[in-house]
Amino acid sequence: MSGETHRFEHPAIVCRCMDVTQEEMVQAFNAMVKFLGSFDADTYRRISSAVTGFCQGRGCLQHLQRILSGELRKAGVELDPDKLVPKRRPPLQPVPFAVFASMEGDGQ
Amino acid sequence: MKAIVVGGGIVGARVAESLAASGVKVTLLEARYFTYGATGRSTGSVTVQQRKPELVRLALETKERILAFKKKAAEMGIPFAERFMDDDSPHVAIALDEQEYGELKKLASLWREAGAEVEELDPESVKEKYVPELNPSAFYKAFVTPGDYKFMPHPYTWASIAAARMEGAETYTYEEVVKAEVSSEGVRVLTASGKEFKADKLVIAAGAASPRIAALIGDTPGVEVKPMYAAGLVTEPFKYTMRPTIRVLSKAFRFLQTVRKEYVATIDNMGFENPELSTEDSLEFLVRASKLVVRLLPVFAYVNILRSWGAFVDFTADGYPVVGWSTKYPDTVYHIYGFNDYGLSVGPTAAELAAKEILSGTREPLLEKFRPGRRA
Repeated sequence: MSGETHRFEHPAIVCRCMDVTQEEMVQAFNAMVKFLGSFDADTYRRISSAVTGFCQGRGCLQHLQRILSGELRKAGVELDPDKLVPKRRPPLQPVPFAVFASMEGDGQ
Repeated sequence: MKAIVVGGGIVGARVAESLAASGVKVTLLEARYFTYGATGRSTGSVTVQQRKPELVRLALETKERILAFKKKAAEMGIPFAERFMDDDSPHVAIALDEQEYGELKKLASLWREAGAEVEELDPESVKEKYVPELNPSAFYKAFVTPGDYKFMPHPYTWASIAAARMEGAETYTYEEVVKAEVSSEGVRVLTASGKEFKADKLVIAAGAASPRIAALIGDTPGVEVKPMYAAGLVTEPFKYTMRPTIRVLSKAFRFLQTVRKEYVATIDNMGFENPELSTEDSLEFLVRASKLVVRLLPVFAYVNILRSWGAFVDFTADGYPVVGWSTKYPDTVYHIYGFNDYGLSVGPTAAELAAKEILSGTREPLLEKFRPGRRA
């Protein structure tokens, strides 16, 4: 082990859809703070890729929030609850194109 | 020189970085998070398929400028430089029927005259050469611009902001500008949180919010800038196989696969304003976009849509963006916004040229048609 960065012997998977580990989540947080000076969950979601996969955060949103708030606390940044919740968007669960395509309306 | 740039999207970030690289002391103010707004909701498509020759010429430079900055950012050790996920992406403009073909043919000759390479193909040849998933009986003809390109707008914007910061810029998120004053001493700006900023120049690069920022100092773009409702969706990921971008210009429709592997569909202008971004309107978008996807690419019928979003996109009355010194404060305030549905195609080049104008006081011939206060 190099000793420079701590490596997990058995990597803890945070986001299963996008295959993101705890270690990568911490690296993403550090890059976000160092290079952008940003601390919000929307930017964190995009930089880390967590919460962007098939489940859209059902399995990992709370982990993203746990790591984000933990790292913010370590960095001495005050927690703003509004910035810990990335925006939710429709549809609520995956829906195939065919379902919308067969709906009435929009003569376009 | 000190400059305040309002707006942390692709245009604000590129202006800020170009100015900072030339030694300007830059303060960048973003009202939400970086890429919030049209930048973060776009497909990342760079195309010469524009409605004005000046826009085609600017779009022709964009790929080279993105690649040049990617190299610079990598040399500066910025991690986002590795994540542009850029690729060549021939844009396939589809004419659904004979009437659309007539209109597209005129546009295609405009693209050609402005210096772009354009191919006219029948449906079977498009299928064979570019998009095997296309249903050839669903459309009449297509025009392909093989020199086009795609990239991820988030890492590109972040890398620009990171570089600007390393070059001395100060950047702020969640700082909404609520008051601004211009005097003989320069410009003074107040944010909602009570912070005060002073500088010699003010650059308004806030997309759809720009007319509101201009109004704070009694200034105006001159030409009408209207925030129209645009919307997009993203699917589950599959193996990366589709390089081209499909467009139906008559429906403001775009469809592509990102190098990140998911498919993205957008309607860049739904044809109405939607200040509340209501759920009924996202349903209308999903229906409209899905009908086009299934009609043109039937194999996608059972591909899952994971997420959709809405955006306000700043459309102008005459189709040109607003770029140049203010008519009211010609020495202090610079406008750059109103990039219709081509912010990613034209924005990076226009922003770098604008930074040159701000620095040197010279005028870039390619921006002359875009001046604030022009007659639409």
